[in-house]
Amino acid sequence: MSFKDSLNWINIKGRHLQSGIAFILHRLTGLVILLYLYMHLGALSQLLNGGIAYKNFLSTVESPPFVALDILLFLVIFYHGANGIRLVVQEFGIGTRRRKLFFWIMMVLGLIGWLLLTYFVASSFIGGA
Amino acid sequence: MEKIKADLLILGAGLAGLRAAISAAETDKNIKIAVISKLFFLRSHSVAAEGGTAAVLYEGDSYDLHAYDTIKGSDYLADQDAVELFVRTMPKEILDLDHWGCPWSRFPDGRIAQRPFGGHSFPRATYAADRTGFHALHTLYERMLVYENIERYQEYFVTSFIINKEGFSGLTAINMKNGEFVLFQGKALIIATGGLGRLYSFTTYSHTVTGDGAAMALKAGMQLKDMEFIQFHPTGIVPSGILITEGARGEGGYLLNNKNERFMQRYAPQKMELAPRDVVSRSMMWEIQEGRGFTGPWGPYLLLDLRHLGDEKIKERLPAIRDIALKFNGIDPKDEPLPVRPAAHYTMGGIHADNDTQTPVKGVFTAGEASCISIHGANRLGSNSTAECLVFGDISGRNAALYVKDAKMNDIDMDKVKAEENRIYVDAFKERGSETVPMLRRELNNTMQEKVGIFRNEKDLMDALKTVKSLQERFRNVYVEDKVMEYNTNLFTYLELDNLLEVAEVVILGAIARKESRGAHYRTDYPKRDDVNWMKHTIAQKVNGEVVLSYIPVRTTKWKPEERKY
Amino acid sequence: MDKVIFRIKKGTPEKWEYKEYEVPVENGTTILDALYYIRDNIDRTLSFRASCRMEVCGSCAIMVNNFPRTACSTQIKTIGKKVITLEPLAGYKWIRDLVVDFDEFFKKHESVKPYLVRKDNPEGQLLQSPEQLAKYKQFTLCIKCGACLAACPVAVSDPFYLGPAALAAAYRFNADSRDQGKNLRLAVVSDAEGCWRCHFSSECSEACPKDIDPAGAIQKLKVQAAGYELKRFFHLGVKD
Repeated sequence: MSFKDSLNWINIKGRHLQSGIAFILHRLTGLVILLYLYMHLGALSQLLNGGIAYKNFLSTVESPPFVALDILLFLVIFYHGANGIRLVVQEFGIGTRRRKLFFWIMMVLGLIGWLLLTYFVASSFIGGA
Repeated sequence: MEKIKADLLILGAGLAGLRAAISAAETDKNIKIAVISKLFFLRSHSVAAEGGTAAVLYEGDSYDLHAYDTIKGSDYLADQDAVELFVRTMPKEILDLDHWGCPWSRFPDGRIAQRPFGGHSFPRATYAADRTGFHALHTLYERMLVYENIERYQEYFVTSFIINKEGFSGLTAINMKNGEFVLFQGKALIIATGGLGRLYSFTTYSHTVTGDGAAMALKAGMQLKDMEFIQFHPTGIVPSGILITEGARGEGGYLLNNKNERFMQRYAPQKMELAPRDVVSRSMMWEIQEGRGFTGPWGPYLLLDLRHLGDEKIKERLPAIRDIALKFNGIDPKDEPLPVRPAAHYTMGGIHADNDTQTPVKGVFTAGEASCISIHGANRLGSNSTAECLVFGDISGRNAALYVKDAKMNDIDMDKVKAEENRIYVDAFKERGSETVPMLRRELNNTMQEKVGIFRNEKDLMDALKTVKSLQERFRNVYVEDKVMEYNTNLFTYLELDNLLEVAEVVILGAIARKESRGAHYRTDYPKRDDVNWMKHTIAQKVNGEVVLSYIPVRTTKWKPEERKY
Repeated sequence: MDKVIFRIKKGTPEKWEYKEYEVPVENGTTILDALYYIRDNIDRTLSFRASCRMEVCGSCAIMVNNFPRTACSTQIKTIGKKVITLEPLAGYKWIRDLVVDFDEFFKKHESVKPYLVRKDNPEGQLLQSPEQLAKYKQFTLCIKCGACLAACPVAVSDPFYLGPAALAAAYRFNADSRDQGKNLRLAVVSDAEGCWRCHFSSECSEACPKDIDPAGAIQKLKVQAAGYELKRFFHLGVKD
């Protein structure tokens, strides 16, 4: 099996939304979150440069383009979290035949959570700016 | 050429073949056993059997009753000593399968369940929902994995038996994956290759059941017995021919004509829909002939009504039937009756063998549908075939294992091997005529279906013989068009057609000669059973390239032939 | 009579192409019917596996428009397309046309000890109530068609993964009240390439023609395997 074959999991042809596509998104969002974790650690390590340098760094990232990216990041996190909760429950063998229903319930809950958080962040940002 | 050596070769991996392998391995764990099949073992046709496996298990039943039902069902052509051996060995087979994990259906108290079946006077069909053959075969396959001395050769197409004066010596075969020639050498052979129902166009059989074992045995000079007896199962669903188990009638289903009457009242007032299959099939065809059938785009049919059983009972006892009706006909059996017509289903005849499953050729044994001991005589009762495969698979495995202990490997006649290699790899590919394998196959199927079916007569049979002989001639101008040797299905279907043409002739000749009606062989010009002249088995053998018929008597013990009324 | 075009991947790994064939279809015509039509009337060199035509032998699983299905039980009209692409099963070694190598599949099945294990040798029946039978019955219906492995995103990208069919078979025996070999099997499947390689993409359950829900079986197997691993970790002793 070649390296190319080991990427076969990303193929969306013939896959179902609540099954194979949910799986692909879960892995991709997981990768994004992992990348963000490294970036976040990198950002926090600015503290090593002292308080003033850190404050300057923060004012760069507390600007509209970065906040917009943050909101997108929240979407990724809410997807991964909502689907993740579903996976934790289902991987105990619970409700595996009703996965489509379960998936959509978690997606709705995740979406609501994301919209609420976006509203708070956006309103406090606009209020504060 | 790949050369494979083993002590015992088993050809065919259905219920009989796998059961034989397990028995042989249990009898002697030092012998090397090779199971060979042209299919992956779990694809064998045994997997399509649905209704049940007959055995005497509980109070109220008895060996004599099971034997009597079987012998009467066979229209008194069965060898009674063989039947007595069969019914006594059966209960152990059910328990063996249970110990090996077969998911038998159960009574509420946990005992293995049984249900009524056609021709049996006690409900003794042990069943696993309506997928009995499927579960039994999977159980045997899984159990076979335990034994280290069984080697599996799956997708090897065996093409001939190499038999010399000392007896069995080997098999020639094709490795289907890469197309290479293979030589199997062994001290003994068990032939368990199943029936030959793909002679017919409307049949319950899988596409792969083409009488390979019987044809190769005939070509090697062995004897075939009772080949004219072909069973037509009353309920093949129209138009595919897929089997609707007799168990559907066992659970209470009705057969109806276009006047909505349970017409079996007129033909078998006592057993009604559960009369033996030959009786029911003929009754159905008479109803159709006399205008009380339905007509449709795929021919005439009658109805099997399961509506009154209720959704729950259907889902619990007949789930596979419900699945088949929904998936292949778009009908739910709880709402609509199923369109059915008799379909070619079982071959009572086969390779001649004795009660120890030995054939007259030293070192060659046979079991299952491919064999003819004979247990089923002129007609087989439902649930007795899966049973026969288990019993005689078991017996043949044991006997063959004991035989190979003291036997030696016979020399292989390499001239025969070279001739066979030439036939397959050179001759078959020589471009000649314009007719193809599918063309001839279709014509063979139609001829057999119309002229050698449930109702036979002299004129039709003679016409059929002429057509088959001409097809055999025309076959010489057919060739394999596909030149790619990996998994060359063109070559395999070519060889299968050759086998079908070989056995078709024997079936027809037996039918022409037998001037009586008995069991599944019904002649409109000789409609009565003739015990004075015809209580005997037909033996067919090739002598100097021509099929010659002879006869041997039926062995009786306790039961005298009576009029067969149900 | 409607006509449907079949695009079939034809050839061997050395040399292949997509060939098109036009087939007449009506209500009830299955993909297998179409394959036989093509082979009988148009191209006798088309190779495919088929036997029972009633969805019980498992021979005929192929990719139909990128999704694995058993050809004999897939009705053409329900797919509703004018062009249907047929390819060999994904994730298996390709031999030719629509035929793939099934040896690995059966080896994986065999490795989980898919047979009843008994320590004793009792006489008579092994009693089992209908309720006990119901616990594992659905998993006995597997026809070993291989569609589940072709659908699984892990199986098609990781050749060492045991796969849904083998794992569901392991669970089928673990859940059989007559079996006494649970820990023997768990020792095999509780492995990085065993049940832990599954992340519940559940495509196997979408593909299974018998609707067995192999994904559910694997998750239930994980619960058993987790218990097994915990016992081993705390040296509580796992007897065979």
